Amino acid sequence: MKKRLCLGLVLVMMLISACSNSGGKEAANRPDAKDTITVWTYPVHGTYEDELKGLVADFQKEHPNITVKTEVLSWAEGPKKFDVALNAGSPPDLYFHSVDGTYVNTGLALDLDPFMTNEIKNDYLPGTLALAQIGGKQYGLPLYQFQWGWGGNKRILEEAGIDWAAIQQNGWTWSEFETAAAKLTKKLPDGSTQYPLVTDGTSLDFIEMLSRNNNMPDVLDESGAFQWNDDRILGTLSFIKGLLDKGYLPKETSAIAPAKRSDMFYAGQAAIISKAIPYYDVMIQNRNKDIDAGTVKGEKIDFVLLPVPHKDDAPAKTTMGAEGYIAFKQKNDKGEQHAKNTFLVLDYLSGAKAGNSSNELVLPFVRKSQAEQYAGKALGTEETIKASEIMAKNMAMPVTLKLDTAIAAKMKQFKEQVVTPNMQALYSGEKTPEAVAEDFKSKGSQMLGK
Amino acid sequence: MTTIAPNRVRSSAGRLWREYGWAYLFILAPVLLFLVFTLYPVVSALIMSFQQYNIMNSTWIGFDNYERLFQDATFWKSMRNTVIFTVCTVPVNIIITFVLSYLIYQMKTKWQTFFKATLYLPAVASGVTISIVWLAIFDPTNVGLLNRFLEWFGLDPVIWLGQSKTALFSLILMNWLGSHGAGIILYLASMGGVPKSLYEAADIDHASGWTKFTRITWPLLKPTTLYLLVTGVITSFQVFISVYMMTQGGPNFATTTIAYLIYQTAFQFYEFGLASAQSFVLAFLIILVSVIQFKYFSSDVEY
Repeated sequence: MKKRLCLGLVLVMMLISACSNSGGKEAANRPDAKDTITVWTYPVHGTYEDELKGLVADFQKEHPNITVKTEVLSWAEGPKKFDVALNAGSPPDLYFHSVDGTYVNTGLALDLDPFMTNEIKNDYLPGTLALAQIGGKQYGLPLYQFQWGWGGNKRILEEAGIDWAAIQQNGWTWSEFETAAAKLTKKLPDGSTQYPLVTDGTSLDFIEMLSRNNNMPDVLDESGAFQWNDDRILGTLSFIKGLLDKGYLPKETSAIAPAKRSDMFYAGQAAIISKAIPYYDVMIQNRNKDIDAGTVKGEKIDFVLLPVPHKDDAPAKTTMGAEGYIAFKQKNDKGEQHAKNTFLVLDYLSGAKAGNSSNELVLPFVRKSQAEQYAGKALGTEETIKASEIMAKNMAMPVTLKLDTAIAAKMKQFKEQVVTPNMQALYSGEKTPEAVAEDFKSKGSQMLGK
Repeated sequence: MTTIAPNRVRSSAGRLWREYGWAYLFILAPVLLFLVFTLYPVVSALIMSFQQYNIMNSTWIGFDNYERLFQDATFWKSMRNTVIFTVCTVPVNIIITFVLSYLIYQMKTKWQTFFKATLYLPAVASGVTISIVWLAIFDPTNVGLLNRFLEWFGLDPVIWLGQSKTALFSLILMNWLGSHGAGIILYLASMGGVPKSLYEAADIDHASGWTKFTRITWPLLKPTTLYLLVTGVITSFQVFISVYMMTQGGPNFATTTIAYLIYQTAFQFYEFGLASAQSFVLAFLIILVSVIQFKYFSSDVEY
């Protein structure tokens, strides 16, 4: 009898819990139901964490039923943490990054098209919304447009008689750069060398920017056709090898990390660095203030944003794209209302007030409302803002936005497995440009087709 | 055929529970931890190694990942690098550790404590911190400590981590100079355990220092040496932090080790199936080498 009673009780409890569960789901699908949205982001600029706290507090005042949990990751470790979470099927609802085909390939990136209202679409400046689309589908909302260029030390450029303002205005060719480089090379009083150009040997920014300025949009073009397989890439590699041989790039380039490149710039050992972003203007202004305050030692520097030189017979191109928040669902999908709430938070974190990121980073705004909100409050110098605007006219869109996601993933693999080691071999003098170009051609054909 | 009455089975189970119940309850926690955090991931990874893994839709592809792996030139290069790293670091490290321990053992207790603590410090510091320090030592310009040293002798700076011919050696050098703390503690403990009477007997027989070392000290320290050899090989087969922090496997794959390749395959290319296959090949290799070590080096070791 006792056993039967126990069994009955268990069944009743199971029934109750099952009912309450389905009731819970129904409740969760109501717009006013309590919900939590997780956001993983980065220190986008010096004061972003505080800015984000303010944005979240404002959002929660308007939507008291939605709790926004934010986590600010480090630039070094964050991507790995996210990759693990994504591949375990439990990414955060919103993640700060540029839209990436490999993310879409997992099937967990949230298609935002059903949530995009005309009001939101019309607020974005022409061409900017497309920077967070893959295959025509919207997976994120851009917060700002990133822009890569080179950065110069105004004192060194002027001492060598380089008309940096004319370069900002009109751009320059590879030949013009080499002429300038000859003037920028010299021995410093402490015995070290002042190099015209210093780049890091660990990333691919340098070859990517130079090849874009030699008529190659990327390893593949938008249609998926292999580009780095002819005289254009050989010419680009030969140009780099020439810079190394002439001493315009340090012979230690293969072992120079990004931090070392910055150190050399601050020490006056690099006239120009690759890559640089307009935000360096604000960063270096802050460093100058620290030097004045006595908290940092070193020479004060005036930053000059420079376009990357282009091959004499090729058009100038500026590497640009967008970064912002990408929306994800989880393997255990939390339902339609959760997706709607995610989009609400996404739109808020990318809205007018969030335009401060573009302002801080001295980058073009992506939304009309942001430009209006921060009109007259620019933080960068007038020269940098103007140079950035001119460079933006030659924008080269990331081809990955148009490529099939599987092909984009293969291109990424080709870069990591073939381009990176070959560039290191070129920098260290272990391979000739011809051997590198041949390797690109043969391995590219195997991995990417023709 | 005899049958056991259900009541008897129940009573013996009950007795078992009464007598050993608490013991089973206590081992339940570690068994559960083992099942959840070791066995389940290993079995999942094994299954994954036969799949083209995707979080939403994995497909079974049999031995394709293993076939791809063995046809991949980068895998063989990483294997070669790992073997070179292991062969160059483990024996040399054991010799350095042994010599240091022997020297420290001759000292007074307070100096022994000082050196034990000093040499153990790198084992306490994180691998990341140590790598950052070594990055500064290997700085390619004449700012780097090592290049400054060369400069004193009128030699040109070396691009330690930026050239294929020196990059792997640089990681080996770093390992030689910084990972002896735990080994020294073990050797010193073992040396303390060698009976003094054996040395006294040898002294009576006018045995030389070398004879005492080869006939007494070394044979009695063999279990410790075997332990250090086996764990050293396992650790160096899995070398990752220094590669990740200092060279990212470059230049031109010169420092890509199997552990780094697994990381790259999984977290840069999202090929979790292939990465799992690589992990199982690495595990198999480690087991094989460990078995060989035990078979050939432990024949005259007494525990």
